Amino acid sequence: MAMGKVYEMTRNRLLKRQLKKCGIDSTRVDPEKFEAFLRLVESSYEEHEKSLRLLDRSLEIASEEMHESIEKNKEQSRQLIEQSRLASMGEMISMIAHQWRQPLNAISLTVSDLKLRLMMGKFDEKEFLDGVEKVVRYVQHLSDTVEDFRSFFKSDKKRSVTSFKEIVESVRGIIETSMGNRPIRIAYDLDPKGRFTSYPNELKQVVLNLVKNAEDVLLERGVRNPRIEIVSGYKEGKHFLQVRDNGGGIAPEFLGRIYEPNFSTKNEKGTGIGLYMSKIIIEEHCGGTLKVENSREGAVFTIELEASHHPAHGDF
Amino acid sequence: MQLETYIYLPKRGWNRPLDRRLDSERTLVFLFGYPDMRQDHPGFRELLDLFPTSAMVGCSTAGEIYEEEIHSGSLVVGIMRLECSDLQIASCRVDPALDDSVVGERLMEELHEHGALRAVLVLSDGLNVNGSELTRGINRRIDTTHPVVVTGALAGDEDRFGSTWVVVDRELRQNHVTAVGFYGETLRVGYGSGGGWDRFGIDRRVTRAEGNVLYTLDDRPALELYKKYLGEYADELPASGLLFPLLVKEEGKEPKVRTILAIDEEANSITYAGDIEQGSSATFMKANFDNLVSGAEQAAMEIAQEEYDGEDALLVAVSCVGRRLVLGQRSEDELEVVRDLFPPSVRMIGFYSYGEISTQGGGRCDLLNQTMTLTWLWEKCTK
Repeated sequence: MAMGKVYEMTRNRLLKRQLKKCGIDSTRVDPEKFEAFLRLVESSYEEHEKSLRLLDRSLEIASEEMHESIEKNKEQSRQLIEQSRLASMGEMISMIAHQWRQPLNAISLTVSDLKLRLMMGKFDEKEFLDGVEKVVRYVQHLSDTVEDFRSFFKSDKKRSVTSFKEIVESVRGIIETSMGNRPIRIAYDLDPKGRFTSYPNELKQVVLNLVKNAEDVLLERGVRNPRIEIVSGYKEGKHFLQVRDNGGGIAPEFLGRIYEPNFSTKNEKGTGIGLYMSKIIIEEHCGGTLKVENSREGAVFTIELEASHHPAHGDF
Repeated sequence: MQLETYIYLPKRGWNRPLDRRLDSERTLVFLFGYPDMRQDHPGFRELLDLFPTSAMVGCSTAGEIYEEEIHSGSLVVGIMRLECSDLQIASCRVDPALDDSVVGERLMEELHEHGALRAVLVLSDGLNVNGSELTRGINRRIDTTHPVVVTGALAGDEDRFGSTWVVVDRELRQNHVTAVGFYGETLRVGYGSGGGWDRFGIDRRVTRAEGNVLYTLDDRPALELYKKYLGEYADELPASGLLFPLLVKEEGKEPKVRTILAIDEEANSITYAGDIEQGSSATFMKANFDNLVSGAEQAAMEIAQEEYDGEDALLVAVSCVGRRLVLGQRSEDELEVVRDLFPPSVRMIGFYSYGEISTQGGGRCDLLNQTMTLTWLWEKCTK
């Protein structure tokens, strides 16, 4: 074979180099050169096997770690949701106390009035029955309040047909109690039609989080004529609920970070859990999206849930 | 510029006789040699004899590069006689009591004394210097309104991580950093770097680190994590650790790749060539042969060649020892792709290092790891 031909027989760059390094340029090979060539080829096989073994091992470990990390994240999310639920529960207890104060007071007044009349001998059966009726109504109100809160905290993971209107209406009492005497005006514009299947209790929790968030911002910034709007509707195959405020919006540098756990722009008050948890509930549990943008006046949080049917077809 | 490159191989000596006519005060001799080379090496002695007035810079390697070939146990030399540009050398001993950034500052101060610097090539001890601090010091003496190209590397010691040397005052010395400064508008300098590693696995938090020493990732000893990944190859640490460089990302900064220089079993720690910031996130990286070779090609393609008109030119290629370790016999693939992008009038020498230095965005230089870093030098003299 002519000189140099042996290189032309190979296309692999490494093999070419190995032949060249050992000075093998024809098929008539000097045994010493051939031995050197074999050593080079053998060592490249060894290098190859070593890197394959390492790659296999490292991919296996990395994959295990990835699974562990996913599990850990899930557990962290679960704990955060639980933490957040407990924090809300604390707030709710003070709201129940607030809501009970007025009917309890009314019960006390009614009963005292009846007692006084009895003591003074001014017993009138009709007035007495009216008084008892009032007390029964107040007690029913107390019972309803407890039921509202109890159902809110039920760890009920069942999906059911609901609507944003129903969800907002069911927490409206809680929202308004929470506002107390604060001068925040709340406007509702809720679409009565759009019904969908989801987790109502979890959605209620998110709505309360968003409203609470808006309330905190409005108070912290001392906004004049503070206002929160809660709007629901249907657009492009999706049911949406917006919570808008006129608090001036979120600084652009924070827009990408507000859903990070433990991130808060609020002074002292913020735990950094509320929005993170809301995002997880909407996107991972309910299969929707939670977005935020700034309007001219303030922040606009939008929950969107995919509709399986168009409401115009009358099946919602 | 007149240029010659040579290689001295054991038992064979120089590939051709050295041309002593190149010796002058404007001549720079680059030499990259094997780590066990000593002052009485016959090739080195001959260089000292034949080039008495020339400046010399060089260092030990983890593999010498001569054109598209890698050698071990050789001495690779590039002799560059400048026609219309000037050069100066500054050197500094590494003082364990001082921050290495002081070394960088001193070198630059000395080089600035000789005029308007155009480019600097730094060669540092590979084991006893924190490359991040060194470049931080250099940057403190760079006026970004008058950019200076800074490239260079940390010397190597094959894959043994025992000791390295740098040429200082025509001697092979440990614990030194040397820098050659180039002056004059006629000098052209091109530079480029490319990596090609892929990140893999989960992101971890650097929970304890001091300077370039890493202790824990996610509150677990980082050394144990390396051992877990390396399995039977853990005994080969620190060399086998080069297979898994770390991608370190600090908030608001460009991610950096960091490679292992040493391990300390007692302290359960790992020393890297550059800083690992506590609180940053760290992810393992792994090699993909084709991407590494493409990374080297990318480095060569970054260098603009518009002005180049076939003049003699020197291309100094510095590639990371980690790349050599991973690529094995395929390491020369990365040299071939680089070599193929330059004409024959460009001569390529270089070495495998423990860390590369190159100018980055904003005119500041930085310590790079696991890259192929190229410095291209030539002159455009007006006749």
